[in-house]
This record gives sequence, C-alpha cells and structure tokens, in this order.
Amino acid sequence: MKKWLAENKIRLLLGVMAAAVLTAAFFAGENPQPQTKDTSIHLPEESSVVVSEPVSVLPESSAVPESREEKEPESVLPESSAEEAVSETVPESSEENIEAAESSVILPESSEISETAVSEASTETESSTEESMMTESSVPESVVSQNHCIISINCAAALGNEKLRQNIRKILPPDGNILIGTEVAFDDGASAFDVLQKICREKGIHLEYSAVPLTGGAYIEGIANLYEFDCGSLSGWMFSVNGTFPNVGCSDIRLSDGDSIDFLYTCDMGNDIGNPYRGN
Amino acid sequence: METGFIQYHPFTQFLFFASVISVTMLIMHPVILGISFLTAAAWMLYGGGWRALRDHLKLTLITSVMIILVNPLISHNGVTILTYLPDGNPFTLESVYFGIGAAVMLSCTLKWFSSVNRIFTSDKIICLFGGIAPKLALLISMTLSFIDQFRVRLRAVKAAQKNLGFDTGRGTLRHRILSAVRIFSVMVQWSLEHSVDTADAMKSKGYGLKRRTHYTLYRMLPRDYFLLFFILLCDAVMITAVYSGALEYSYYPCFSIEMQGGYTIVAYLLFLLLCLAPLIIDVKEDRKWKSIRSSI
Repeated sequence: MKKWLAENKIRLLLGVMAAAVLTAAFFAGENPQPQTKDTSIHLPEESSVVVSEPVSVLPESSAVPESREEKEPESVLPESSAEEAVSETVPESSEENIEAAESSVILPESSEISETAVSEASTETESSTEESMMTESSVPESVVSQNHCIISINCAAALGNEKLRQNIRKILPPDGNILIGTEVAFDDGASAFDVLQKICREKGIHLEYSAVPLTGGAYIEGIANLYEFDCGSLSGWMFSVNGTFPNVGCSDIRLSDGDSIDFLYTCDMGNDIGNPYRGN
Repeated sequence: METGFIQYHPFTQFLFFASVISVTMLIMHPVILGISFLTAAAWMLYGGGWRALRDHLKLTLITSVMIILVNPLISHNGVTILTYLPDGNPFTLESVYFGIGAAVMLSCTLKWFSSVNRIFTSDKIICLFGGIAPKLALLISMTLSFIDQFRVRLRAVKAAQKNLGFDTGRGTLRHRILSAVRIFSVMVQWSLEHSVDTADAMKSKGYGLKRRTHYTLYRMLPRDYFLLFFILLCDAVMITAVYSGALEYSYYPCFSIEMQGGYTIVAYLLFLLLCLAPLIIDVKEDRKWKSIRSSI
C-alpha cells in the first residue's frame, strides 16, 4: 500500500486537484443570490408614505394621489375589507400601482384597527385622520418591513394542449391550479423569484431553475415537473405582476407590498395567456 | 475447439447481438434491463468464470457509482423531492432511479460487447461484411485486433527496452520520461509498419476486387435457421410491444412501469428466452459432449 502510494503520488495529487476544482466549480457557480442586500433604501420612503396616507384602505388608483395632496381621504366604502383591497389592486400603470401598494403597507397586520378607522372615516373625516395617525404609531417598525403578496401558479393552458405527454398530465392538478392564490410574506427588495422559491419550498412544489449567464438571474425551467417545451417549442413559464407581464426575468423585478403575482404556463409565447408576443 | 453458440453462423450471431444490444440500449425499461443484466452476467460467468465477471465488475463499478451520483446533481426532474442541493434545485428520488437505470444499461452493454469480442473474431467480420463493404470490414477487423496486439507488443517492447537500460520504473524522472517516449515511439512505428504490411498483403491477394469471392468455413445449418427465426420473432414482438404501449415506462416525472395484460408478460418472457439462448445452447452442447465422452 505504501509503495503503491509512493509510486502513484503524482497521479493521486492530480486526481485530488481535479476533484477539488470540479467540486468548487459546482458549488461556486450559478447560484442566483436573493437580492436582500439594499433594503435600507426602501424603508424610510415607505414609512413616510404610510404617515402621509391616512386611511387608504381602498386604493382606487386614481384616488390615491389626490388624497395625498388634499390631506383629506376619500370616503371609503364600508363593505370593502382589507384583504379584498390587497387582492384586487389592478391599476392602469405600474407606477401608480407601486404607490398604491405601498400605501396599504400596514393592512394585513392591523386589519382590525383599520376597519374601525374605516367606520369612523365614513362618519367624520377629521377624526379619521387622527385615528389613522394613532394606528400608524401603534404599528411597530419591524412589522412594517414585512410585506405580503399573493402568488398563484397555474398551468391550465398546458392541460388544454394535446402535445403534453400523458405521464406529465396525470401528475398535474385537473383544473390547472398548482397553487391557488396564497399570501406570502417577504422582505423588502425581494424579487418575484425569491417569493416563488420560498412558497415552493414551503408547499413542497417542485421547481427547477437555472442561472442566466452573465446576469446571474434565475430562469424558471419547470414548476411542478411541468417544464418548458413540454407543449411544443413555444411553451414555457411566464409571470405577471398585478395582471401585467413585465418582460424581464423574475429575479430582476422587485416586489411591492400587496402585489399579486401569477406564474402562468404558456403554450404559445404568451398569446394564450394574454401576453401577446410583439417581437423586438 | 469450443462448441456451442460460437460455432453458429456469423450472420445468426450478428443478428443476435444486434437485437439484444439494441433492445438493451434503446428500451431503458427496468425489467428489460434487469433481464439483460442478469443473463449477460450468467453467460459471462459460464464462459469465463468468476474471474471474468469480477474483472468486468471492477471496470464498471466506478463508472456506475459516478453516474448514479452525478445524475441527481444535473437532473432535477421528479416528483419525490428528497432534499435541496446547495444551488437551490431539488434532489429527487427519480433522478437517482434514472442514474441507476443508466448505470445498469452501461454495464449490460459492456458485458454484451465483451461477448461480441469473444465470439466475433476477425474472420467472421470479413465473412459477413467482406463482400458488402470490404474496406470497412478490413478496417474494423484490424482495429479490433489492434487492441489486443498492442497489449502484447507493449509487453515485449517494454521488456526489450528494459534490458537495453531504458527502464520506465527506475532512474531520474527525466530518464524515465525519455524511456517512456522511446517505448511509445517504437510502438507507433511497429503498429504503422504492421498495418501497412497488412494492407499490402491484402491488396496483393486481390482483396476488395469485384467478383472476388471469399472462402468461409461457415454454412447456414438448420439450427441457424431455427435460431434466426426465433430472433426475428422476438424482434417483432419487442417492436410491436413498444409501439402498442405494452412496454411503457417512465422515470420522469414519476417512476412507473405500465403493465398491459398478457402482452407485456409475453414480451418479458420472449426477451428472457432470447437473452438466454446462447447460454442454453452452450449448456446443452457441453452436456452432450460430456455424455458422449463418458460413453466412450
């Protein structure tokens, strides 16, 4: 044994070096880091919005900027609860949407308090402003940094396609809802990919992704064992934020509180799920 | 003189190996792989004893372990998530199964090809393809014989050079490298010279000319026709079974074997018989030989 070791010293050394390089390459490369580094930029901005924004339970996108200027909140419909407001934000432009979403930052935690605020707001606007100031002060800082979004994963388009192989079809849910709208908490600066990965780990949903060369972003190859190209060469996973398809990678888009994210499977470059391909 | 399957007509043997190896390689069905693996091992054991099987397993073990370990690292498909890899992708049970399947398939194929090497000597290759593609047949037969020749010659050259003072195992590193280069250059020269000689010899015999016939020892006997018919029957059953879905299987996304009533079982049994055919022939011939010898 000793003799053998002495004879093959160089070979062994080379083998160990090669193994080390291979393992290092495997573990070092291609890991899209969750973007949680620069969270400090967002925090003060959002808290200031919350202070200036008294009772924005119903962010009617056009109404939000007005109420900020006038310091006089619009009368709020009493039947709209906090959860509905979060899930039904479908504004016209994305910029307005972000503001609207930020303004409802405190909603999910303090739904009781804000509902009392709602009832008082409908009777007297002046007192409601004071009430909301109280609400703001009662919410601790740490809770403000926790944001929530609604995420859903759907593959109905794939089920309607005859190219889908039987052994994949039988493991998919018959209605195509891999994940029905679920609320996920996330830190500031989290991307759509971070949220997707988090919920998939929690629910045990299969998710495979690869790193995009150079940018290091994540590219979703398959969710729940339904992969890109399973329904032809134009098929794959797409995602929308609040109903609009941002044509960037899912790890390159920052989420705001209250966003609703849909991961949808397309069989035709997005044409079948409401995101027609426009070319370059 | 060896008896049994090795004495059959080259065409029958060729068809047998082509069928078994292509079924093993193209259908990664777990049951088919298992049958192929066990029968190939049994035949190897019968032909070469424990030593041959052990050498083969030693050769394939490292490769198999590598495949089984590496496959889950690059393939993340599968419904049963065992754990998550450091790069964030899932480590699934199905990819381990696929790795095992691929490793077994590789081992089977190597085993069958080692039998091909033992049975398919260069004269049989020339007999089969000499008329159709003479250049290719000569090339294949020369290449196949080259590997064994190289081993034998290397031993001779090494011994000769050692006596001349060029020992690769002794002396300074420089001296050892020089010795190795010397041996390598002798080997290359010898091999090239030999192949040129062979080509010249074959040319002078008129090899590859039109209308030139080949003398062969082999004749198609009734046993050849019988085996040929059986192989073709098995091929037909396997092909229809694959296209009718009787041999349906899947590793991804979930591991499953489809059973489609009797036809699946018929396909399994026929493939088992096909793989066992040379072993059955060999055993039968050996028994006959022993009984004849004992009666003398």
